[in-house]
Amino acid sequence: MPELYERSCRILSRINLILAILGACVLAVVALIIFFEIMSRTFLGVSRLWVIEVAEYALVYLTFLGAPYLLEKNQHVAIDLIYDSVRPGARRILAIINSSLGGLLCLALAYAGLQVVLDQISTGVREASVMAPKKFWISMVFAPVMLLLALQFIDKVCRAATQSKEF
Amino acid sequence: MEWYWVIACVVGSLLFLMMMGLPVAFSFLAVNLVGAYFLFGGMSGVEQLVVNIIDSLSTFTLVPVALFMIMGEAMFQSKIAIDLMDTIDKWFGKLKGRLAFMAVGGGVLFSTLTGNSMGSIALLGSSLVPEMEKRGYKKPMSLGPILGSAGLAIMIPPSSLAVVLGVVAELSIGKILIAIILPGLLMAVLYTAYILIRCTVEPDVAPSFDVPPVPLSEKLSATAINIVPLGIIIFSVVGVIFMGIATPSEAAATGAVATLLLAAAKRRLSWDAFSKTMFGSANISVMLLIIVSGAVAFTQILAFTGATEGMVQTIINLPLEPGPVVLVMIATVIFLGMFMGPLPIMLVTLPIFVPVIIQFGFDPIWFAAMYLVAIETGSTSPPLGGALFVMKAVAPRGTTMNDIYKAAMPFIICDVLAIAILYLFPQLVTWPVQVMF
Repeated sequence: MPELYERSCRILSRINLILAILGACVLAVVALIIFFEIMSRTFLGVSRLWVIEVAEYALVYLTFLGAPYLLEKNQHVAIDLIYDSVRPGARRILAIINSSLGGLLCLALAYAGLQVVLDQISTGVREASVMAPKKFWISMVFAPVMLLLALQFIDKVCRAATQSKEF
Repeated sequence: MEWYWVIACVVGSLLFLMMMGLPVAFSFLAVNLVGAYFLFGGMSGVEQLVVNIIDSLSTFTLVPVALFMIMGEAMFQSKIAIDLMDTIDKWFGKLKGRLAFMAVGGGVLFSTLTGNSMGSIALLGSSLVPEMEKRGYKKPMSLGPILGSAGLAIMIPPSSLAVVLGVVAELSIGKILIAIILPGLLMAVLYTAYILIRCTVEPDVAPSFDVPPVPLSEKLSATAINIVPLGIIIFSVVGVIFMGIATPSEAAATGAVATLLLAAAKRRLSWDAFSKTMFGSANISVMLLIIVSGAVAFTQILAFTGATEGMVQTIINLPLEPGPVVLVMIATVIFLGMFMGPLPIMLVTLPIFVPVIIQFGFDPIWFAAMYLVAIETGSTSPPLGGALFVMKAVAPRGTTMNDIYKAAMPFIICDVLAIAILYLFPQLVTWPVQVMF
């Protein structure tokens, strides 16, 4: 693969890793705030309503932040019943088809996600909850992550097509 | 379009994409995208799909899926699991099938700390099987007990799959977590009985060997250091639910923090172990949550088209008693488990099965308990049960898949027996729930 392409992939990989680390931090924060909420409620009789809400929004971020890293490392759950039993040539073709499909899917979802955020910003719609944050704060993670996933799929197509070692 | 065509198109495309090797999460998203475009009104339907996906994730009931993972990862990264095995080892004296019993004991104890059976197989397999081979254990008695007992992680809280089941089937997670405890212990008893009988009838399968005597004081101190503190972790999950201190979703946080604190108290929680724990558990959580989000939207599409309602009505109107229909559902889950992982099976079948169970008037929690045993059975069933391949990865060289298949069979029969017992005696599931709630 050309050097420029490989360099771009390394940058993409670094972004994926940083996002995955951020996701792990989000998970740690969720565990801690819920734990302290229980302690506070049990021993001090003080309850904070925002904890549940923040934990809910954090789950959205946790899920999407870690998704591109997992795709890069081929760690998403897949059923390899047919994939593993076919010859390498056919496997390569399957990889190209799957990754092309995945790339198109993620591009479409990135576009739809962007539209959703733009709509939410223009209408100023808020969550119907105690904190009532503007909805786009929660949705805004979706489109960029879908774009990263699409790029990752495109990389897989390129690697499979050019018969690079890993695809 | 008739409901059965909708099911054929939607479920057929989903299975086709999965079988092609497209990751499960993206298979769900692809079917959802096409479904939303054509059924919900073009691009605005796809935008609605995006909103639904995000909404399905921002649900507090999904929090334990991620937090239970911290418990399992912390246990493995801090090597608390190895301490457990060492302590169990001290208590088992010269006994026929000693190491096989240790596998079951270890499996039960690990299950109280982790909701991931694959991790248990990897740890028990890599630590016990070489010793079993050295002691002349035949394959059925070295590999089988590990395959069976590691699967108890699905059955004994904390169980991530139980939480996923609760979310997808819209059942009380707290009730499910309490309901599966006795079935899990029943399975452990059946495994123990099988090992005892097999070692008595056929002693060569697990030869007894001399073990150096361990003073009682050493056994007691090891238990006090390594096993008793686990009571705190178990209490921090199940106890706080029982006492009404925390909801089942919150209890996962107390469990996670308690496990980390225990690791820290044992001076095993280095920064490296902590960061690996958080990174590993976040990755597994992402794997699960992204599939769940796709599956929830998939369920909405099935419901919107009337496919779920159509299938439920058809099954209810079949000239069959409800009981056999339940058994057919359970058998379907086991059959699918021979080829697919637990999560895709749950997400495809639960939206169809649970409404039928409710329409029949059965207790869905009772069904959920049998369903989870069936999921465990499927994951150890030949030819492609996921647990079999994890075992192959950690088994000594020269172990063939055929050896693993043969070793798994008696434990699969134990699982089926457990399902039969739960079917005949639903009180084993419903009684603890009635006491609690």
